[in-house]
Amino acid sequence: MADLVSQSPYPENFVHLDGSWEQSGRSVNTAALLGLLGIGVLYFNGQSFLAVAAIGITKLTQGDAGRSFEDLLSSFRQFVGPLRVVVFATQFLLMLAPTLFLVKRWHSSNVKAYVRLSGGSFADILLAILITMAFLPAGNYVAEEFVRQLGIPEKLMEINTEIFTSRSPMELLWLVIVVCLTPALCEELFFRGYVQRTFERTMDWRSVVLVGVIFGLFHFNPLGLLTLSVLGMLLGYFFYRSRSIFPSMAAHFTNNLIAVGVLYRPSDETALFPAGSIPLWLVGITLPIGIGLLFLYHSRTAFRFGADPLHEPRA
Amino acid sequence: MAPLSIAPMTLGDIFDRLFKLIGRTWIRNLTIAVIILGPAGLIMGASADMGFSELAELMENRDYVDPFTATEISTLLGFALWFAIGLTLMLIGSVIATVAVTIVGCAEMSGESLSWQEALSRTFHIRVVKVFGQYILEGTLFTAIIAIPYILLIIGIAVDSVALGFLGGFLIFAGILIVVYLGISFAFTVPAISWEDADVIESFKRSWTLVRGHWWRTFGILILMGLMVSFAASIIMTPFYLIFLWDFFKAYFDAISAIATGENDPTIFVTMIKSLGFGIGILSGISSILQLIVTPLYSVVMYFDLRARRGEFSQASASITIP
Repeated sequence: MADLVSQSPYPENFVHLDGSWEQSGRSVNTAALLGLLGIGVLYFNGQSFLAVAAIGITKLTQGDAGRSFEDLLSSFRQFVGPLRVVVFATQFLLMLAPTLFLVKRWHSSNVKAYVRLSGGSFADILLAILITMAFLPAGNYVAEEFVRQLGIPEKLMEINTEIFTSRSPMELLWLVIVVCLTPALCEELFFRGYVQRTFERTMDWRSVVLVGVIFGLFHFNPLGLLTLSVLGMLLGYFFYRSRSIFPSMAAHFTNNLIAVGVLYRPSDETALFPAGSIPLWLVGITLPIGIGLLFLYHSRTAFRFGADPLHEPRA
Repeated sequence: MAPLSIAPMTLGDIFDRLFKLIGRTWIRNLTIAVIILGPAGLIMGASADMGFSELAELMENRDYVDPFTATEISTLLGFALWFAIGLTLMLIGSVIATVAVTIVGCAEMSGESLSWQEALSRTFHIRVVKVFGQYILEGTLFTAIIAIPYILLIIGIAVDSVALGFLGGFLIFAGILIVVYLGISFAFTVPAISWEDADVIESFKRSWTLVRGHWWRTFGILILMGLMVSFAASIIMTPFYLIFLWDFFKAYFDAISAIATGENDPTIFVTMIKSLGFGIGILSGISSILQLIVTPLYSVVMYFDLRARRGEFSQASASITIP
């Protein structure tokens, strides 16, 4: 490998496509789609199975739930701990591990370079974080509007957000690891590092849109589909322009961290940040700022974007 | 026509061929599926809507303590009839579209590009009747394999016979295994009829011969493809559920809110049922159309792979002829 790099006319981080799929000359889009569906089936079925098992064991040991919303909520709190462990374990075992395995086996022995686990300046990362923060109120406003239009009861939303809610600093730390750090690492390496990276080789910028929508659909949350798809496209764009996975990882982490932060309740009654509707004026201020920062990101990454090779010749 | 050169495929090759085949044929297959299943889906939506509306009216007007009157029973039967009509039309449409998509796929694998019009004109032929016959025969066989032990089990319970009950239970388990075995062995009857113009019984023999010696491999690949297709369909269908069942979900959350506040308003449930009908029909239509673009094609690719494994493409006499 080192010899290949030293003899290569391409930059040091150039990806050598020496995997079995590449050698066989099959379509790379098939590889991306197959990886997406294969890992999707494995992850969701595995996670569902383990989640049902975890809930079943908890229910057996802790008894019946009751009938009112309050009973349901307090019952759901019993399941939250095991469910978080299931999410944490399955993201690493059933999403990240197969992703890295597929990249190494099918595409390149240089996994780190293939998934772009390198490069990206501090400014790129900082800008990606700021852009995500600026777009967040608009995204939440749209999601809240769906909830309002459908008239989903507040108590039901409380049950829904219980898995992201923490009540002590230790629980908050664990939640940051499970809900922020883990998806930023596993989901980014899967969606951006593998799926988008592979589609990008034939579809160029269109891969950002496609994988963004797929990212939204993969969350199986119809009410959040629009917001999650836009977030997916934004993360994909950071990855595509910077030729590095770090800005999208940082942005994903920030997005989830804010959600976890908003739902942090130091005492059982008071939230650290007051929950409630996102005011339209806030969206009116932050959205133009986000768009402006996006232009800045676009111009800042232009040099690197033009210099780095997009399509590597196949072996 | 020159003999085809299709070599036995690895798992990766099968997926590669399948996705390329989908890419090359999806517009034609979508057109076929929409032409055949679109009207069927709309009719099913309308009939389900009428059926659910009748059911809702019945719920709205009746006192739950009273026994059912003859009129109410006829309303309920009317609901079932409407729904059955819609469902039957969808099933018939699915079979016709499956044959047409299979013909497009087989032609493409043989190096011929058929238009959707040509595919449909070849479909509306005696072969579609044969496919119906094959489905009915296979369905009857599988139902009998499961139903007979089930009847034994019921008789065993009724006459309090432990031995008969055990026998029935054991035969149900064995029947399920036999149905799975036969289901895989007969998985290629539709390509055999659609492409080789085989008769119904011939198609069973043909599929059996192709799968023989490759059963486990065929089973594994078909299961894998089935899982992936159903997963893909479920994620694609997510936004459609929100759009077409919006009114239902709205009524559903209203009902939950009412329960939470201790109100008991049966009209919410009536609204829920009324808003369900058309959405269900349309969603079934979209889901069937999506699955039809893919499902027959993976049978086609595997059918050609199994033929290649039997060395059919290495002899000039066995080259593919267009029926």
